[in-house]
Amino acid sequence: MAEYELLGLFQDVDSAGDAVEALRQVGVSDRSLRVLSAFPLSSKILGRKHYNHKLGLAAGAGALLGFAAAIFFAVITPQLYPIVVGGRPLLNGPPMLILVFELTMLGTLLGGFLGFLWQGGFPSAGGLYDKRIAEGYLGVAVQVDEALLEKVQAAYSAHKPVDLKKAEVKPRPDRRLLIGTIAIVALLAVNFALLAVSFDILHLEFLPDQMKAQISFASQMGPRLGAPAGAVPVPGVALVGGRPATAPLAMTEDSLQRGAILFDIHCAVCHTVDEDEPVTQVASFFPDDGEPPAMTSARVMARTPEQIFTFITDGIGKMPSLAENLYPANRWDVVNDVRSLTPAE
Amino acid sequence: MSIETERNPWMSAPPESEDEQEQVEHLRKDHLLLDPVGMEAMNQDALGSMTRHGRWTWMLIVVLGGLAMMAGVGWLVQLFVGLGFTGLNRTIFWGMYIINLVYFIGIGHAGTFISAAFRVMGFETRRPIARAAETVTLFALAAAGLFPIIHLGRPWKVYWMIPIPNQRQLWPNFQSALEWDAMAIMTYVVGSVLFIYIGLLPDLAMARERTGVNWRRRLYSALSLGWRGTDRQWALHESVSTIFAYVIIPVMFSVHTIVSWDFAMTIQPGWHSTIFGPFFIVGALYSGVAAVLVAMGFLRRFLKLGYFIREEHFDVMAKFLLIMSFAWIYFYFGEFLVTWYGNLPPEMTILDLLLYGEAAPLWWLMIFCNVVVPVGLLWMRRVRRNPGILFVIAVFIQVGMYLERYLIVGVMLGRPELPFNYSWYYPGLEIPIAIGAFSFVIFFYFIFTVFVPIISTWEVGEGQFLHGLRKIGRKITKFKSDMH
Amino acid sequence: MSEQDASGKRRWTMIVDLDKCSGCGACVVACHAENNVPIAAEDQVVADRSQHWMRIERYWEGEYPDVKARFVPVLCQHCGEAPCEPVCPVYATYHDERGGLNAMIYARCVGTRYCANNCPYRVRFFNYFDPVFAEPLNNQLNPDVTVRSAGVMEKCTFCVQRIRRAEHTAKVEGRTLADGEVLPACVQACPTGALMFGDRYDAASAVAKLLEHNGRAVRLLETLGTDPSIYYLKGGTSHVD
Repeated sequence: MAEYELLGLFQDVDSAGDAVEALRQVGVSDRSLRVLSAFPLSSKILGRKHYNHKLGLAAGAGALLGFAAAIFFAVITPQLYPIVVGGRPLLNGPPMLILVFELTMLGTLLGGFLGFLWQGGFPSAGGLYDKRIAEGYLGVAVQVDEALLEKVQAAYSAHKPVDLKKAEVKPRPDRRLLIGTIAIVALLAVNFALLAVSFDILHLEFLPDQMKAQISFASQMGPRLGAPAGAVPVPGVALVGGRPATAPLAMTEDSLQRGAILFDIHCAVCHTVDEDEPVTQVASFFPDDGEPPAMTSARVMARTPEQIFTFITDGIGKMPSLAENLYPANRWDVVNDVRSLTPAE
Repeated sequence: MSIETERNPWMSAPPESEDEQEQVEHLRKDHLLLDPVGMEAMNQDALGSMTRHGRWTWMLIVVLGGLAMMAGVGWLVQLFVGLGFTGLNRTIFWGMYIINLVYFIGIGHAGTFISAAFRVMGFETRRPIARAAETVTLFALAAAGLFPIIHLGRPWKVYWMIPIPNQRQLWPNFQSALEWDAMAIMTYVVGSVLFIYIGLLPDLAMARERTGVNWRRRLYSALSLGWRGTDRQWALHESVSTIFAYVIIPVMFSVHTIVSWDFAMTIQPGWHSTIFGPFFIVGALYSGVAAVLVAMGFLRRFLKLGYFIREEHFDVMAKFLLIMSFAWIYFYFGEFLVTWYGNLPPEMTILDLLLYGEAAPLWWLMIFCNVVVPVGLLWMRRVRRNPGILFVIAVFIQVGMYLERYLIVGVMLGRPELPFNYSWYYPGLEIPIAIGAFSFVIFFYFIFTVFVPIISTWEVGEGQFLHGLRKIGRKITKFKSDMH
Repeated sequence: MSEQDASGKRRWTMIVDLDKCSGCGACVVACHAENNVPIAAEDQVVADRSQHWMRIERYWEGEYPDVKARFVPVLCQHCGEAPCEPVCPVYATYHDERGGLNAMIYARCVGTRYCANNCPYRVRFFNYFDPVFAEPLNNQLNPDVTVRSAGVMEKCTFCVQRIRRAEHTAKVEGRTLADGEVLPACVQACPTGALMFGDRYDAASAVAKLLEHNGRAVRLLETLGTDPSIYYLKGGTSHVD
C-alpha cells in the first residue's frame, strides 16, 4: 500500500492549530504529524503532545566522557613519567579541578550538539517543503497510507489551506549512520596524522630542529687543528688530570691481551702495526694530512710509555683524545701492547 | 507572493482614535518587536544586507585584508629569524602578543554573554543583535587563538602542548596555567562556534530557500543540514540552545579568569593578586560590549540595517556599558587601594610608575578613556540613543582597555623585584602584527556579512509574535506573552 | 643547615662572599666560555638583552662624595621551590631531585617564556636570535653543552656537565664524590675566592661547615619562599655591629 505525504500551508497559527486537531480526529497519529514554521512555536500553541527528547542524556554522557578524560590527564598522566616541579606533589587539587571543569563542560557541549544532530535527524533533505514556510506561513505535514488519504484531504480542506501539496513517500535511507561514520573516520585520520608527527614517524622537514645539528665539535668529531707554527713542546713531566702520567701497569699476560683487543677497537682504525702494511681506511680519507705513524715505526718506538699514555689521553696533532673511550687502566693496557710490538722481519 | 496580513493575533484591534493612532505609531517607531512587517520583508532585508556593501566598504575590506596579510608576512619573518625584532628584552618576556591575546579574548566575551546570558534571562533586546555579537566573538577568538602561537619561541613545536601520546613519552604539565588556558580556550572556541552555528541553522535554511540555484544555494543547503523547521526540530533547537547558554556562561567566566591567572599565578609584583579573575572578567565584558556597539554601528551605517538595529538597542547596550564601567572602576580602585595601603616596596614601585612615573601618560590616558568619557557621557539619554557618539565612545573604551592590558603586561613586567632588572618596553614588530590582527577581525567580520545573514530573522519573528499592544485605560501599552 | 639526607640526595650550594667580591667579572667570562653563552652584541645590549648566566649587579651606596660601589654576583638561585618550574606547560624546566638543581632541558622548550616572567631574580635568558659564533670561535665551544637555538630559554646550570662528569668518574673509580671535586667555571675562575661550591647536605663539606654558624649568610629575596641554593655572605659594614 502506498504511503503519501501531504503538506498544507496555513496563514496563521489559529487555522494551523485547528487543522492539526482535525487531522488527529480523523485518525492521524501524533508521530506522523509535523508542523513546520519559521520560528519556534510551543507544542501547546499547536495543540500537540509534549515531545520528550533525550538531549539531557546525550549532554550528560558527554559530560561523563569529558570528566573521565580530565581525570586521566590530571591524575594518570603525571604518574606515567613523573617529573617534580617547584617542590610540589605530582597530584595537585586545584589544577585538577580546573581541568575537570573545562573538560566536563566541553563534553557537555559536544554531547548536547551531537544529540541535537542525531535526534533532529540532521543532516536530512527529505520531505515536502515549501519556501513560503520560511516567509512565515505554517506548514502542517502528515504521512498517511492510502486508506486514510481521502479523510485527511477533507480535513485539510475544511480549514482552507493556502496550498496543499501531495507526494508519494519514497523510502529514504537514513544517512546519519553513514555521515557519522565518515565524521569518525575523518577524526581518527586527523588523530593518526597528529600521532604520526608526534611519534616522528611522519618526519616533517620543514619543522626545523635547530639544536639537533650542533656547531660545536664533540670528541673525535671535528677537524683537529695542528699546533700553530713555531710552537715548541713544553718540557717536564706530562700531567693527566693534574697528576703525572706515571703509573704504568705491569706488562702481564692479562694486560697484553686486553691491550691487543682494545688496540684493535680504538687504534687500528687509523694506525697500522707495520710500516709495510697498506694505509688504513680512515687514513686514506685524509690524504693531505699525512699518514698516522705505524706502531713499529722508529717515530713511535722512540716514545716513552708515559708519552704514549699522554697522547692517548689528550690527543696529539690530528689525533683526538681517547679519554672518553678508555679508562686510565685500559690506556696503560694499550701502552703495554704498543710497547710489546716488534717490527716485522 | 507577498504576505500583507498582520500575523500578530494580539495586534489585531485597530486603533480607534487619532490619539491612539499616534500612540501606536510612536510605540512602533521605538520598538522593533512592536513593528512587525512580516517575515518575508524581514528576510528580504536581512538577506539584502549581504549585497549592500557599498564601494567604500569594499575598499575598506580590501585595505583590511592587505593589512592582515602584512601581519602574516611579519610573522613569517619572525618564524625564520626568531623573536629578535620584537621589543621584548631580558626583563619583559611577554609583550603585545599576550596583550592582544587578552584583548581579543576580552572582546570575544561580550558576544557570547549577550547571546547566552540575555537568552537565559529573557532579555528581548538580544534578538536582532545576538548574531552580530556572536560574530564578534567568533573572529575575536580566531585572532586571540593565533597569538599564543605567534608568541612562542618555537611555534612549530606547539603540538607539544596537546595531550596526546608521543615518542617523547611526555605529557603536558597540567600544573601550568598556560595548559589550563589551552583547555579553557579550546572549550570556549568549540562552544562558541557550535552555539553560533545552532542559532544560524534556521537562517541558513531561509537563505537556502530564498537563493536561486547557484553555488550560494549549494553552500546554504549543505550548511543548513536540511533544516525544515518542524516542531520537533524547534523543540530540540530550543533545548540545545538552553543547554549551550547555561554551559557557556560559566565557561566564559572561566576563560577570562584563567587568562588572568596566567598573570596572577606568578609572583611578579602587580600580577600576584586574587582580584585578577573577576577584574579581568569585568574588563572583558566592558571592552566586549563596547566592541559589540562598534559592530552595531558598522552594521546600521554600512549595511543599512536600521530596521533591525534601532536606538532602543543602542540604548540598552549603552546602559549595560555604563554599568560595566562602574564595575570596572570599582575593581580598579580596589586593586589600587590595597596596593597603596599595603605599601609594599615592589608594589609601590609600580604604583608610582603608573601614577607619576614613566607610564603616567599612558595611565592617565587610560583613565580618561575608561572612566571620564563613558561615565561623563553615558548617563545622557540623548548620547545613549545616538549611534554616532556611541561609536566614538566605544572606540575610546577600546583604546582604554587596550592600554589597561598594555600597562599590566608591558609596563608592570618591567618592574620585577630587583631594581637592577628594571626595564621599559618598546614594541617593534608587534605593532604591525597587532594592526594586522585588528584588520583580520574586521576583515573577516565583513566577509562573514557577505555570506551569512547577520540578523537572526527567526529570533526577531518570534519576538514580534510574542509582543503585542493593549489598551489599558486611555493608554496603549506593550506587553509580552509567555509562550511556554 | 646541615641536613643529612639519607637517600643520598645532594643539595648543590654556592656561597658568595660579598666582602671578597671585587666585581672583576672573571666569573662572567668563565661562564660564557664554559657554557657557550652567546655574546649579545652592542645593539642587543642597548635593547636590554644582555645575556650573562652570571652577572655582576652593581649598586651604589651613599651620597656623593661618600659613594661606594657594591657588587652582587647574581646567577640562577637554583631554588628548592622554584617558581619557574610549575608554570612550564611542557616540563622544559623541572627539579633535579638528585642534586637539588633547577634543571632546564633546551630541546623540550617551546618558548612560552612563562618561566622567565615568574623568576623574581630574572636570571633566565631567551634566545631572541640564533647565536652567532663566527669562525674560528666555534672551535672553542664546549662540546658538552648544547648551543641553544633561537626560541629557547637558557640559564645557569651550576655547570651540570661538570657535576655529571665528576659523578661518573667517581663511580668508575668506585669512590664517592669528594668535597671540592666539582667546581663550576665561575668558582674556578674567581681570583679572590669569593665563590664557594659544594654539597650542603654533606655535613663535612666546606660549604655546610661555613654555613653552620655564619651570621652573615642571607639568601636573595628570601621572603618569597623560593628556598634558593645561593647564599650571600653580607658584605661591607652591614654585618658589623
